[in-house]
Amino acid sequence: MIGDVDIRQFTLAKIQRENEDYRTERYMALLNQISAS
Amino acid sequence: MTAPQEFTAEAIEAASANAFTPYRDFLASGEPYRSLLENNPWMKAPSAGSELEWGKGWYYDTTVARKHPSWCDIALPRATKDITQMRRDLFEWGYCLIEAGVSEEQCARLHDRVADQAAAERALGIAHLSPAQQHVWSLVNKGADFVRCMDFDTEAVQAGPVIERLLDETLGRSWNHFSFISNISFPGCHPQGLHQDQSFIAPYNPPEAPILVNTVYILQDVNEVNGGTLLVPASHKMNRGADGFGPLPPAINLEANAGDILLMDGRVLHGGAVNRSDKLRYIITNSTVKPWIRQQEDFLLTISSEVLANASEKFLMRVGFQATAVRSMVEGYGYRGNGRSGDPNGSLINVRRAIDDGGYRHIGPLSMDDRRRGHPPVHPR
Repeated sequence: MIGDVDIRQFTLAKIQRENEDYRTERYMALLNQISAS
Repeated sequence: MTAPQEFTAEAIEAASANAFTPYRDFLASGEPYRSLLENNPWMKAPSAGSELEWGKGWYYDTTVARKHPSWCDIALPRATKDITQMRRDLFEWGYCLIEAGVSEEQCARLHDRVADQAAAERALGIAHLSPAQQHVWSLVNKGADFVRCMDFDTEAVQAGPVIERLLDETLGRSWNHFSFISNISFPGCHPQGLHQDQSFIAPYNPPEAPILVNTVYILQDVNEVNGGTLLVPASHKMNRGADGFGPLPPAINLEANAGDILLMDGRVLHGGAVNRSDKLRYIITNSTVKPWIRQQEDFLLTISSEVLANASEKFLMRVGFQATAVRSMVEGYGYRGNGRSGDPNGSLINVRRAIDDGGYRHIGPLSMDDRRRGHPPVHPR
């Protein structure tokens, strides 16, 4: 969520969640690192 | 806000007179057709409505190779089932002929389906007609055998595995379909102008290899009477780069049997011949290209959801549904794609299905300030 924006409304987010196979732990670690900076 | 004076249209215009523009001459060169017609005035296409002239040496006034004085003693490609010979012919002459690439029964099915479709489109007033030909576009939606042909499935095209191998070897394994259509030439039609199928990249002229290969299904015997395809053998190697084309040898009428398949390098000069018979002349033509080329038929939008529902992963890849970091990404999806069949990191069929279902929601402008600005909440669909 960002404010009241729920990413689940975006079709891309659904497609990524259901299909992409590269969102590994490393990706999530990068995401956390960037979000914290 | 006032932009700097140097950025105004007037200033740009004033700074462009006699400016250093290193690529302008190349881009405006008109090659390869400028040199082609300068050095071969006999190749000029007749204007629409003019009388065709015979006995004056025009490119369309020709015959099959074995009857042509310039070609009869030369071993031009003949229909064969030998892939080694096909490879050699395709490289040396720019085309090869696959003997009985479709069986008699497969040929009859393809012919009858396309003839019926074409007649129905004429009857409904939705046919695509030109003075010389009817084009039946988007065959992909107009019969299961056409989809099988695009899959090189032996149920529809018995030489499918041979064609696939030759396409892999000539274009690299990641090639895409460019279009799949039928050209139907009317009795007494004017000839097409001689052209290269890949001249959409002109004046660029990569000499190393073609970027397009055309697979042409011949659905009835073709000869000097009904015309077949006019082509200039070995013309794929005759463009001299910066100097363009010099004088060329004459064109021939292709001679082949119903069911043979012509594989043609996209650089070969060719065109539809005059049809001097009293019957329509049918071919179906499936061009394939390097995958970074925009397709003649936009398959991502063209193919019906019914066809997509049963499509193989190989088919989806070859019509362009696999995105990579350099092509066809949707909202960033595909950046990690490798372009290969079935790769989930760029499988655009998921996007197309979401669009077909209705209500695809794109990501628009976002801001961390959304809440503070009091935007109404949005809800997941």
